[in-house]
Amino acid sequence: MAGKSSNQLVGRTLKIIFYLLVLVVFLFPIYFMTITALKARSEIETQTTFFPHKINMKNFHEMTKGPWKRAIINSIVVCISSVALCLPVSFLASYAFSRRPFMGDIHLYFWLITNRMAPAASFVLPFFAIYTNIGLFDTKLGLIFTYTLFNLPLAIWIWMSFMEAIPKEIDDAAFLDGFSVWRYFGRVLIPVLKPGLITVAVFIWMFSWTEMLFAVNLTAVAAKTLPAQLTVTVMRLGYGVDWGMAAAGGIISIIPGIVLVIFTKKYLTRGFVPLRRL
Amino acid sequence: MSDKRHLLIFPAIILLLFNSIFPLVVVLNYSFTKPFSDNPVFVGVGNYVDVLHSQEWWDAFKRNTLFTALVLAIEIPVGLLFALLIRGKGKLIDIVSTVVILPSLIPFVSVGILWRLMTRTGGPIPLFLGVLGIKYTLMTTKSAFWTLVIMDAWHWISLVFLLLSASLVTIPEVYYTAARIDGSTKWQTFRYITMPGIKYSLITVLLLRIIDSFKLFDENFILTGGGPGRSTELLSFFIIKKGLREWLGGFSATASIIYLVIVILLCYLLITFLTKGQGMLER
Repeated sequence: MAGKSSNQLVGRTLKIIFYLLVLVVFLFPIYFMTITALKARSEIETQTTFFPHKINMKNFHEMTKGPWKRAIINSIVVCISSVALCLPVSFLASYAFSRRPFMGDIHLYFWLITNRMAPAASFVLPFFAIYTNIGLFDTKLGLIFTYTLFNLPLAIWIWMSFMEAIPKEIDDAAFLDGFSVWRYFGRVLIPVLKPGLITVAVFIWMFSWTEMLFAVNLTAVAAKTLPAQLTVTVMRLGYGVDWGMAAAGGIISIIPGIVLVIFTKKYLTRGFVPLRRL
Repeated sequence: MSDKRHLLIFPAIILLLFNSIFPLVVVLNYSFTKPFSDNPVFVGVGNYVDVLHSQEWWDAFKRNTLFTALVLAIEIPVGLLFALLIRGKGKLIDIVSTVVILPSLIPFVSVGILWRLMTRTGGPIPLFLGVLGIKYTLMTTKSAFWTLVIMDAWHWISLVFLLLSASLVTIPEVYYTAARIDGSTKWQTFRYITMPGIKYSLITVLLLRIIDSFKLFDENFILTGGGPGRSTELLSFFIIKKGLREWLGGFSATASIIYLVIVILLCYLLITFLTKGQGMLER
């Protein structure tokens, strides 16, 4: 008996060491970015320190004005608009797919999903050309519009799993009671699908918040989002990169992720749907 | 009620027609011409011949394939191991699993910046490896590529972990109890209970990671900018460089088309194979 419990003790200790190691590996880079943001530029350039000598809020202060402030506001506007546009549209489409088989639906669905899989790089050049011609270049509207290309397929995919868990008989019962489709959505289906609604919204938000390739190439000044502003900062040649500023911007870009993972972790785990459930 | 519910699909289709088909038509048109010049001329399949004869294109393709193979070989087993080890109840486990998921919610750019900071001359990673007696600088051909692989693993083990741990909790506890009573070894339990239980999630995450590592752009762009030389130039980077830096519109558009076809084909084959030909809708 003594042997077994000492074995268990070793096992437990090993597990805790493993957990701590994992925490260090995943948190240290974020910690290091945070302290870099709090250092003065001279301290960043001269040596590597693991605690800032003096807390310096200058970098974060910069975030509240000029191009950084604009970039953060742009990001928030683009994200909210993307959610507002894609959430209802994807809801309707996935409802149709899950409730109403029609000719060629499997192929149409595959085509929809492939847009999520398609490399964004293939679309940058045509979007650039189209948007400069129709005046959507460097506008938030252009970005929001572009993001639907990737947001809609993912959103529809996620909606599907939630949708298919709701028995179709509920629809029929509601329609027999004389509900219109819209009334049925508002009174019955959407309340039941609230977890799905949150999951889809989170994923649309996160994609729009993190997207950089289009944000860099389809904007110039006015519509730059936070990822684009960060890219400009670290890609500046010659003068040297202001790492303190880049780190401060980086920290701000992580904040929504941290908030979302804490409050919606249980929804996130349901976000991606296995291809075929058992 | 006459059933017109399938019409609800139209808003999505209309948006995607504008955003997917229209750009595709434009890019397809470019691929047969010399665009962005004073008089765009039709060059037939000339661009396609150029791309397929381009050593740079094939290098990027091979590099990207190797990259995908390496990141999958790291992320899938490690993610699975994490999912198996970090489960159950308790505050510590809660914290650890939250922290492991976190990287998947960090913008790619910021992951790139994180790793630039970590690998800068005199940064934590060169310092740490220096203590172990390994000399490290980011900008050598080998270390740049491997840093990219490790960075991708750091970023996306989170997704493998997320999907697999979500799937693990759906396996009924009774199965494990029964296995224990029957005296199954740990390996047998894993092979005959855990594996079948998470099979489809594993397949899904495999598909997502293959596709996404084939599309990687942002981290690559921020961390190494394709360099040194062309040692970390992946396909997306190659296309953007050709199109928007060297202004070879026709060449870039053609490479985009070939790239798109490869990815979609890969996707189609994988989905067909993995769902045994039944497609993605559950009927």
